[in-house]
Amino acid sequence: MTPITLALLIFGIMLMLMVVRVPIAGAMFLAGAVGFILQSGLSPFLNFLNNLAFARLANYDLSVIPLFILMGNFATQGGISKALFQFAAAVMGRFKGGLAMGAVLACGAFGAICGSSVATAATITGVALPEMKRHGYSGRLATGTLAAGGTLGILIPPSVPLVIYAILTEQNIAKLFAAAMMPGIIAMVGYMIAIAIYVRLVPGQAPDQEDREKLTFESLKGILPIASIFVIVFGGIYAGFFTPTEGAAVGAASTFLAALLKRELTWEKFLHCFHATALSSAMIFMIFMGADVMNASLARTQVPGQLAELVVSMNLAPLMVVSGILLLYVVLGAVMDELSMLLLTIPIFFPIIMKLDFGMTPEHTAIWFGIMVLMTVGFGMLAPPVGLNVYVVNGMAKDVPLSESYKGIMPFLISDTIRTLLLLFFPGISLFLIQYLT
Amino acid sequence: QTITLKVHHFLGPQTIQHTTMLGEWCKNIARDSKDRLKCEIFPSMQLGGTPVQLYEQARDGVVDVAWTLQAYTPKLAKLEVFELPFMMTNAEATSRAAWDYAQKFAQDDYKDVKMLAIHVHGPGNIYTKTKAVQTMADLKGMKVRAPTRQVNKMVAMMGATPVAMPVPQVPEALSKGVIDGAVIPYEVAPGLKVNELTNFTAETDRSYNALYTTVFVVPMNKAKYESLPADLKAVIDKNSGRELSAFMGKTQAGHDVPGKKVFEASANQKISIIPKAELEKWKKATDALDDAWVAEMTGKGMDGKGMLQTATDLIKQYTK
Amino acid sequence: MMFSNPLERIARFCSILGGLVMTSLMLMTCYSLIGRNFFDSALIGDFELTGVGAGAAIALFMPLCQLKRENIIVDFFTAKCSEATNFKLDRLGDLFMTLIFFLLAWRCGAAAINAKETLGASMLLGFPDWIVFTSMCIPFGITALIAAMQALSQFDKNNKASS
Ligand code: NA
Ligand code: NA
Repeated sequence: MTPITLALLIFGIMLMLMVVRVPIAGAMFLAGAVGFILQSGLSPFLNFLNNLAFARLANYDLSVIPLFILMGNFATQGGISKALFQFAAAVMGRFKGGLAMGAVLACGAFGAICGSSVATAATITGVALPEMKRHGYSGRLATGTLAAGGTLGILIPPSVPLVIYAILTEQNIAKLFAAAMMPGIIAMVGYMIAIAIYVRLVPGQAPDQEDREKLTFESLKGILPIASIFVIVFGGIYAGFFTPTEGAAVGAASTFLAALLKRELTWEKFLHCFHATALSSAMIFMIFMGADVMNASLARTQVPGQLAELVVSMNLAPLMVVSGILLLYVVLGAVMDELSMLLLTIPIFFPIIMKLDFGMTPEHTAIWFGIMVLMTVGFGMLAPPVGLNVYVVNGMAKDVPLSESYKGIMPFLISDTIRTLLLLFFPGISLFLIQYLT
Repeated sequence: QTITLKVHHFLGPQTIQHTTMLGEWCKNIARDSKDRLKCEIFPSMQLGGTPVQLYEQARDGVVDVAWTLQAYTPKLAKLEVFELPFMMTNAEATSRAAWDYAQKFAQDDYKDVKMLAIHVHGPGNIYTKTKAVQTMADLKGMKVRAPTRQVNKMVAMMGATPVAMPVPQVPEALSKGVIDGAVIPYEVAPGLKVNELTNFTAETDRSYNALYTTVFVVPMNKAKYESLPADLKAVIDKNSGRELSAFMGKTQAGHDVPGKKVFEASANQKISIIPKAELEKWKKATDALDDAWVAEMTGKGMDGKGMLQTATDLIKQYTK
Repeated sequence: MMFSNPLERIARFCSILGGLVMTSLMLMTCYSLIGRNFFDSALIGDFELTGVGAGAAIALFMPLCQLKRENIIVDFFTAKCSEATNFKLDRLGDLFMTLIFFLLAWRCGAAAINAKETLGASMLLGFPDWIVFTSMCIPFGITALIAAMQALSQFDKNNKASS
């Protein structure tokens, strides 16, 4: 079997299993397993499984995800999030779809301390989804907003994919973060505009009249706990007291403390926090493990690398090459895990990009390409059929069918596309901030 | 027909480990086997798992060859003797010594793989952000990221607060001041942007033994090796052992030179060299680590003292 | 279903245990941070402990996740099929999940035995790997059992009520 046939077979099995309602994690796991065994035999596959769970679950870098989910649950059960949303409603309430915009704002704020889009989506969803439902938002718009908002976790620095890009390409992480700042803000504003347009074009998705809460002293006092937690976590990270990962633990601990002080956290609610954390975390890590099997199997075929070389061999104009690569990322990102996609392809594409002339310094070219890649990663977190963020948010919204969530994502994908084109043709938007870094 | 070996490691594709150390080895086996034996080198853990699992991946046939740290495989703990402070002279000689030492003491520990090479990297330096390190007293109260078990103990004995964190977190931790400094060799420092994120480099006088080094191993799957026809086995045999170890040690340490150039070219960097007399004091302050290691080995029923002595003698023998 | 109640109780117990592990990790990190920033004494290897603790906790979260059918499925291809068809397909899905969790439990068990023999341990603390593997093997086994029960279940009253 040629590598391409094999890769197609792996995708085919995965899609077929998904169609017949096998859980997504299981479909990726089994398709990857078949591909792995066909290439390397049963015994290496079984040995590969020995360490699969250890590598993914007992992993310091990823422990930030359950910690942030726990933090979100403490905030929700402790009544802290409610206050945040009353505040968001008060700020954004004058607009139609204001609460959804508030959720985007909250995702952006959370994204400024968290580098993972899945963790951002899960945390804000736990907090915002019940509120949006209560205010009469449709499942489609609510889950779409939260899945898209979750990508702000990586679009606004700190950002795990950017760190991986920086390591693979030996670029300056701080400069990459600075370059991601403007695009991140544009993403946030773009999502709010998408909501504003969508609720006007498609009736019945958001309440006609937002419950306008006045900005009172009480509502300001209500956000005091979460504001101080934000200051502790954000301030602690930027003042150098702890790393972002440690910040997650501090955030969870201080939210726990705040909930205790509010006297909202009964024993029953405390246990509920654990159950809710268990459900979200287990679901996310099952997908990680499935994706791992799938990616190990795909990496062995070497097809991602060969596809990359194919794009390179076509000898196109620089901007066409970049567009081709980004298009390939959109396609790959639709079906595979984004971080593994970067690991498999950046080593091949990066040297090629650096050889082309875009009228920029090599460093600017490297950073700009990193930002472009980041945009497609964000896109891939949302695009069907495998959009991790949509899965995560939809998994937490039990009564919303996945198809509804994918419909809800469309306005945001349009917004993503416009932003990506903007950055493709005007690199200066992202690069101008770098000059302030020495 | 052609047999392709899957080679797996945790560093990026531009690193010297990928391009030269493993790359040259692959070229050599292809040349010696007339292209009947080839490699696919997978960088950055592309085939899955974590760096800690590389040895087992090779042992279990998940991959055919791996390049990894001995510290990730506790069974290879006897090799840790080369990581004790002020043990190494230069990487080439110490790599040869490590290979011979392993033949004598550790063969049984890695009998489940075909060991291709055992080597070390170049001498480690201390990089700090706010204050230059000239004497041991300068380290007092500094939060320093240390790479190995022994170096963690060493910096603690010298008065610093050792902070253990995964390598990828080092750049951000330095830039935010979570740590005040880091201990690593020149070769890996620019990749972690240490030249931009710190201001002072304390290099040790190279005529004195190195502050520390780290031991690497290159295991090959045993069944894969056994399955090769005799002439291809001979190709692997020819391209493994003491000389491959020496080549890898020399190449990795040789890459300290361009690494140092990056530091010299960084306007913010001040490089100073810790003189022998001061290093004597450092060695004295950390000698207890040697005793502790000997005691640990003796406690496990081995001749700890003899092992330390053999390692020291072998290094001496190979150092010109 | 005869076994659903004890299994549900075990799954809930596991998730609480996992939650307590996460809470301890959170407190340990804070302790280490305070030590490092105010008393010049960091907890060496706290990140190793966080890693292995998270591993145990997340594995302990799996049984409840399977019991509640929290693993996401793609529903739009079969949205128009009858309830009976979807029910049968879901039993098939349970069967696959049984297989996967059985494989994970088996291989973690094998890895635990191997780690015990080879003295596998974390680098700085020497925390034994076999404990980590065992802490994942057992919950995976429980999850496989739950998935198997779900695959064999003839009628779905219980599961509907709980999901
Ligand atoms: Na972020
Ligand atoms: Na995707």
